[in-house]
Amino acid sequence: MSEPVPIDTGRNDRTVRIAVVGVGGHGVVLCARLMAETAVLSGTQVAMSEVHGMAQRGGVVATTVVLNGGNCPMLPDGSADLLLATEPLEALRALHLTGPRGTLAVWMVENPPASMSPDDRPYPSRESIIEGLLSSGASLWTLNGRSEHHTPVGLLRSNVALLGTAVRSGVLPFELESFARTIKRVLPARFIETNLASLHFGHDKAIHVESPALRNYGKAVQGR
Amino acid sequence: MDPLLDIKDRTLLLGNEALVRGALEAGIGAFSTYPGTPASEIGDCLYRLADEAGLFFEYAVNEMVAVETVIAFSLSGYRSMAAMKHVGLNVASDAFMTFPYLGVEGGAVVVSADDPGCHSSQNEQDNRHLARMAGTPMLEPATPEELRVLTRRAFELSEQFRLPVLLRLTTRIAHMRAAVDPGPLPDRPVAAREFTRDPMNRVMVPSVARRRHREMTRMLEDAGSAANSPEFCRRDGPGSNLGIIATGSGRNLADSALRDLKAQGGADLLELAFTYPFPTRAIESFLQDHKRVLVVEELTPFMEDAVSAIAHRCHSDAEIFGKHTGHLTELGELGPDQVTAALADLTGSPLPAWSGADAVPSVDELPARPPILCPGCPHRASYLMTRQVVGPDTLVATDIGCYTLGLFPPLGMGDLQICMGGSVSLGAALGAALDRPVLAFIGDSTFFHAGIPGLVNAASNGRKLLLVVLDNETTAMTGYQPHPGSPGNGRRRIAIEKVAEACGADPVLTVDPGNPKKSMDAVRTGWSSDGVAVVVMRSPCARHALRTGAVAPRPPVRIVNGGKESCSNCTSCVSLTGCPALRLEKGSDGPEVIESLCNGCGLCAMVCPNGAIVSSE
Repeated sequence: MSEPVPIDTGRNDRTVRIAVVGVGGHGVVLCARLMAETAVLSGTQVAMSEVHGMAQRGGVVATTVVLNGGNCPMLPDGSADLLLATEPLEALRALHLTGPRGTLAVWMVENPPASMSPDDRPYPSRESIIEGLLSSGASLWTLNGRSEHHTPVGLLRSNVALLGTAVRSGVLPFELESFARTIKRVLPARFIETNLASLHFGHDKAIHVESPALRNYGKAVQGR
Repeated sequence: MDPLLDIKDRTLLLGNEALVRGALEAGIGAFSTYPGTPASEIGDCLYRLADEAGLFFEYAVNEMVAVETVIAFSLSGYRSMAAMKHVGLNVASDAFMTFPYLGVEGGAVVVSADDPGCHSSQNEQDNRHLARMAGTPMLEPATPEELRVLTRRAFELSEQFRLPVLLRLTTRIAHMRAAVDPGPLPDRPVAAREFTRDPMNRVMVPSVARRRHREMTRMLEDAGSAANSPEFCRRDGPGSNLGIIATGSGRNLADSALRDLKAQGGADLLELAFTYPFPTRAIESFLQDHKRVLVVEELTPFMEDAVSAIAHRCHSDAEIFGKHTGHLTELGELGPDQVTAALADLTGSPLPAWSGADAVPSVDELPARPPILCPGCPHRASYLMTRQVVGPDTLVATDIGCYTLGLFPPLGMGDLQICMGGSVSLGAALGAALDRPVLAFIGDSTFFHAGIPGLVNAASNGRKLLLVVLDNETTAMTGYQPHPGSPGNGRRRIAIEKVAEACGADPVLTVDPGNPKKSMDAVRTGWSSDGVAVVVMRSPCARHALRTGAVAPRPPVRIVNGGKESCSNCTSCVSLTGCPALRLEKGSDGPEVIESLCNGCGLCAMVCPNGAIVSSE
């Protein structure tokens, strides 16, 4: 019988529950894995759950990470301290996982589901998404990445950018440098530069959406 | 060196990877599998490192062959393992049910990865019942570290009791990631390469089987005492009169619920990892110390029923709670909310602060995002052209793989489906029952797995059936594992056409679904045949071909607006193909190509009545 692998630092033993959601192909599993790898490297106890198989064929992908919370990687509804979403609609779909005590970080690039029939429910407007997200009472951070965010080092990655935002929000017990170290250690050499740029982009460019400013927020970001 | 062979320190591993590490630490000498979620990564890892670790590896044609292979290797002195998803063990059960009668030489482990919640499966059966039915010891690990340790122990227990061991996982355990501390690896695999001739114990004629059944039952009783060892039963708690007995994923959930309810003072916990034969003595002693007991486990009340029976036999008057009392359900995957609510009810603890804060928009109002066929998937073209020929009213029997996704609109290809290979027999029988021709689809890997008997049956009984084999040259859904019809891999390639001909299909035609005229001609010919016709639609999996570099990426298509051949916004490209790389915005002038998704396959260009879709090159 295995005990939870013991924590060998007293640095931070607060339980942190995290969900990462998005669409198949967005690198959702990698994002959660980088968090779990960082935990192991820093001696933090971690349990993570991921999805494989049919769920990955362009469908919804949801992954969870629990730090210092024992062996159970699943989250009760409303309990997520941090919800990262690589797509706004999927943030809304997973909103039941978090609540007033939680923090949300969303890559604001809409990726509407494939058109299946004319009767499909419409993709919600940017404004109603923001309103919906704020209605949870969670603290909201957004990243106004464009889907084709070309930089001199390549296309920025939403999944890794959200890790930067997570650090900025102060919810995670990790520094930006810890993630940089994990990226260098875990990813193939040719991807390191882009991912480091994405990490810093997510940290530096995240916008904290304050509720009172919400009314004009939707228009403001659309005008960008 | 392969990363799983090279682990030195604490490492983050997926449950299935940790299982493989445990098997390597045990000196596994032979492995066979048919891929299936959530077990696939076990085979993927061992395929990758088999040569380096010096072990025998096979991707079997189906799970029964995998278990039969393990039987032969075990009796030749190899530590052997087969891995499959839960429904795979149904296919293997003819061999598996009699395996304990034969016994083992080298330790033999059969991995069953169950899928509560049907994340990627057609049912949520509970394979713990199969361990009991066959009479095999069963281990249920709950974490990656435990997967490593208990997989190694499973080989040792198998040799100790001369019985195969069922290692039972569920999706949440197989696909959980956590830190693992590696143990030492042996110098070489355990593989004696000797077979002792002993027909009076190894040929299961009735006289032998009756005797072996008795022998096997005795060995199982021995295993039952080992199940009570503290190694497999962890008991913890403050000495409350409320107890929890938990297995598998239920152990993690019970621990989490106790933390969240701060109810540590409110319940003791008995965690069981050796779950068949039932650890009767450990359960008896726990029942004696508790007035009320909640049993937390995935799916059916397998352990709960055993606990009730044990309570009856030992005259315990403890009250048993679980699925029978409605505290937990047999349906779907067991989740933290359910377990926390059950425990809150029994302890009288208030629910955690976050519960009930559900002022969130209803998910029912959001657009759905079901999994769909990838852009450029050749199955989309195959479906479109076949439907074009057979008409909208023809019934379609379909099968298990990526192509099952053709069920969704607009393709709508699927009226009946149940199990691997089922489409062939279902299609032929449906045609006979309704006295009208029916169409059946099957994938290439599924054809080899279980489609052949149905085909022989249909042909020899003179049925009328058109079977379309959707051949993308790989087992795509589970992660591109090779099958007997795949090119390369250093294996002899078995031609589906030749097999189909030998099964009595006539005609057997092969086409590239990228060629609409030839494809539709082939379907027409097959559809007009009086007997069993097979059309093989062969084109490599679009995603796999790009991954492996087998084909060069094609430029995305472009929709022409203005000029003679211009988009008329008829939306045929979207409404016929359902391709995810085409987007239709409400109120826009016409469909839009999502360049980052478009594979450039040109199917939309083929269906465009205006010739307004062209390659962007």
